[in-house]
Amino acid sequence: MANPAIRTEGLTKVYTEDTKGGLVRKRRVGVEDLNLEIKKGEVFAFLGPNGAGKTTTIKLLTRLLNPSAGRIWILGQTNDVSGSMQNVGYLPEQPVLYGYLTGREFLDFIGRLYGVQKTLRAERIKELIERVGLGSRSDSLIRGYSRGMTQRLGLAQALMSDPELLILDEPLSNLDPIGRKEVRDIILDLKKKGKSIFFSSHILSDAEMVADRVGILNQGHLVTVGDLESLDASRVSSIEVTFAMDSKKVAKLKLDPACTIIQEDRIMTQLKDENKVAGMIKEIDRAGGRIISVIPQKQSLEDYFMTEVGR
Amino acid sequence: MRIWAIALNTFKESVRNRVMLNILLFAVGLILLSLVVGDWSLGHQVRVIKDLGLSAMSIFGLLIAIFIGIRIMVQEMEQRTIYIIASKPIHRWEIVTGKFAGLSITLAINVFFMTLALGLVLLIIGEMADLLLIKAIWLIFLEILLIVAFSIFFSSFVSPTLSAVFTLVVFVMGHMSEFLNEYVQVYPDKGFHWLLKGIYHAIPNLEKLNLKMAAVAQVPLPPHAVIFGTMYGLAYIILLLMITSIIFSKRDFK
Amino acid sequence: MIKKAVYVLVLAGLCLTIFQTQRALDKHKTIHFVNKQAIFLPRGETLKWLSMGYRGMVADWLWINSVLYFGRRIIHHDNPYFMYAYNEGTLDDDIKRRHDAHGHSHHLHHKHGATEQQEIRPGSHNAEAIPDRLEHILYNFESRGLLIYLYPMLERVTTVDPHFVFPYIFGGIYVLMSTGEIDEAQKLLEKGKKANPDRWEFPLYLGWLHWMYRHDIPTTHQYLLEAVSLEGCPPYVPNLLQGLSKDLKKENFTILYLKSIAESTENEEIRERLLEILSELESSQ
Repeated sequence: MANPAIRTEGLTKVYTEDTKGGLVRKRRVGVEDLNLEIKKGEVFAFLGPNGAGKTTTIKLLTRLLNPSAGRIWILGQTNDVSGSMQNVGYLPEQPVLYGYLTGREFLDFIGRLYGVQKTLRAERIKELIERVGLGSRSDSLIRGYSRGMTQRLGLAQALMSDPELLILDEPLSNLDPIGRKEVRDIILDLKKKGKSIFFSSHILSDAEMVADRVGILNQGHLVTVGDLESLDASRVSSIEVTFAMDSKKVAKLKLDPACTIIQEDRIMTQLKDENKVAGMIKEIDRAGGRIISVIPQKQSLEDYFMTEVGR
Repeated sequence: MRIWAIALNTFKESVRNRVMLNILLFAVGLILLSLVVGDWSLGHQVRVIKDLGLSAMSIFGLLIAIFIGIRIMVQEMEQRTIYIIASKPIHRWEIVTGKFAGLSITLAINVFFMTLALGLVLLIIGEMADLLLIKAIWLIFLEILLIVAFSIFFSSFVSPTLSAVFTLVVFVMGHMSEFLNEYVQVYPDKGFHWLLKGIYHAIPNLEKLNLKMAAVAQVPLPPHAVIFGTMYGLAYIILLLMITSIIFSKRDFK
Repeated sequence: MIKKAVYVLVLAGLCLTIFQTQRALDKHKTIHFVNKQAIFLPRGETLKWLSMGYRGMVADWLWINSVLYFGRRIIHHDNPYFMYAYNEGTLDDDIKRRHDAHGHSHHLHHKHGATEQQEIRPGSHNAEAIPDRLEHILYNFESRGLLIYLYPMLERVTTVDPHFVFPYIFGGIYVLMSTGEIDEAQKLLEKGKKANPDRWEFPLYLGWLHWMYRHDIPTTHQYLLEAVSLEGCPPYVPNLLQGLSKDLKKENFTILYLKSIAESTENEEIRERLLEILSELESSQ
């Protein structure tokens, strides 16, 4: 296989913390023995509850933390040299940017750090400002930006070097629904261009719409890695079917009364087995009913993790 | 390019900072005030103006050096802006050097304006600024840079309050080290000489960068005072920056 | 509405309190109190390292305080001998005018001053050194204060900045003339000479001191020889030297001494001056 975008081998980060007023040093595990491989051109969602170690992993990848053990390769290079970050764009969680600069000045600064030459820099800044939707606000001081605007600017700076790999920490937080859609579109657009994207989130639905593969982290350990469908399938607990029918005819469907709610001519029932759904729909149709909705009920992410941890 | 980018950014940060502007205005005001204070000295106006001018430059430069020098490093880390910088293809030592360079430019401009004010005041009473005065100002500037290097050094591994305290302590010890040297000669227990001498050489001797009294009294300088003083200051600064870079490159940004 | 009025009243009351109490405190502040506070300053050596690189500034501040002290003494209306001088008509017009502006009545106050000072009448040992009635008055009133305060202050100024020349001379001459404190003055001038060996002022004024107060002509001669060979020496000094040499009948010695200096010095100005003196001395022999 061609070089993976990201590869880690036995990646471990242990924190030593002072507790009991500084008298006792405790070891806290950030991540332990992490073995990841992100393929080139794929969108990888890194999920997990808060405190799982997602941000720690990302900081290890972006050279903000030194690993306690293990190795990291970014785009084929070991990440202990600063040069390995040349084709990487990174957006931290809830980014804080220099309040005393304007958006444009900030992008110019970042461009210089990447070594982008002057004319190309100016071009790219113009392009990116438009792309992330910053517009006229790019010339006012960052101090006055809302969180949404800061997030957009953060995304723009991550794209300054037209990177091969994007590492995004909670990219869709702090955004209103329109903003989230725009960012999702940008991610998909980048994917089309062949970029690799590694992002973390605790919101599952975000991952569902853009990710190719998903990894779940819990308490510093990688619990599952797989593509979305297999993950989805294992989480579906039941399918909720809502339909309208003449109440006299409902008995014919042989629904499980424990999972069924009937209100006048509106019936809602839950089916445990996905495979039975198609059959049920046919029966409803034959009985002259009208399907209102078919919604898979998934476990909440927390419940799912509980299950995984329990294993 | 990268060091320059950081330097430019640091420069913008300090220049767009109200605190620094106010300190500068205050310093310039004080220098202008020396016209009045000079009058009280019974005919020694020139002396007082030069003394007050050079001292104001030194003190205010130091204030800016300590407080803004610490801010520069600490603010990055407390406000997490460092995440975006340190994850770029840039060496940690480039970050340290760039910040120092940016602050140096800022301070140079400050000292320049204060020098203009002093020159103006001297002109008003009919005196000219002479070469000796310029030499003294140059070494004052170097002293300020050395203190900046210390505050950047301390703030790379210690909390801001503690950094300020340590830097002030270094300043005080730096001016007392001459007295330590004298004391060593008369210390009865010869056995401790090496220890005291060692401390003396380790502490930055800021008096070597102090030509204020000589400039005012027009006393002839010892040979190569300026050259050796400059070399001493620069060597110490570079040493500090190197150590800071090492510390900074090992740092985890939690 | 009432609340606002109360606030305003309280603020006004506080301002008034501040104003009035300050005035009251000022009234009871005597010169002695203000000046004596400065005696609690650390010694010169300590101040040297306390100044931490700002010695010039500290020396200037100490000097200004000495000057202010002197000025206060002369013109402040607490000075009981002020009225004496006023009545005698020996006061400066300017000081007179200022005093009138304060509107005090014209009789002596025997408050602080009288209890502090001894009555030292003119006619005691250095009267002939004090030509002026005002000087005389200052001597009586000032001498104790000056000794307590001024010489120590000047000692501190000169320790902190040894190259600040004027304080040595101020203490060594003017104060000496006002108080007759020869030893203090000589100590100060010698200190200045040691720290500034190439200033002509010190040997000259030391010479003057020995002539005027110690009546020690040979020492004066020695000092003048020194002064004359230093750069910047004013033109009247060679004449003094000449006169002295004649009186002492030491012309030969003077000529030899000056010749050796003239030959060894690199300074053109000095050499020319010395050669002039030499030609005068030789011709008058």
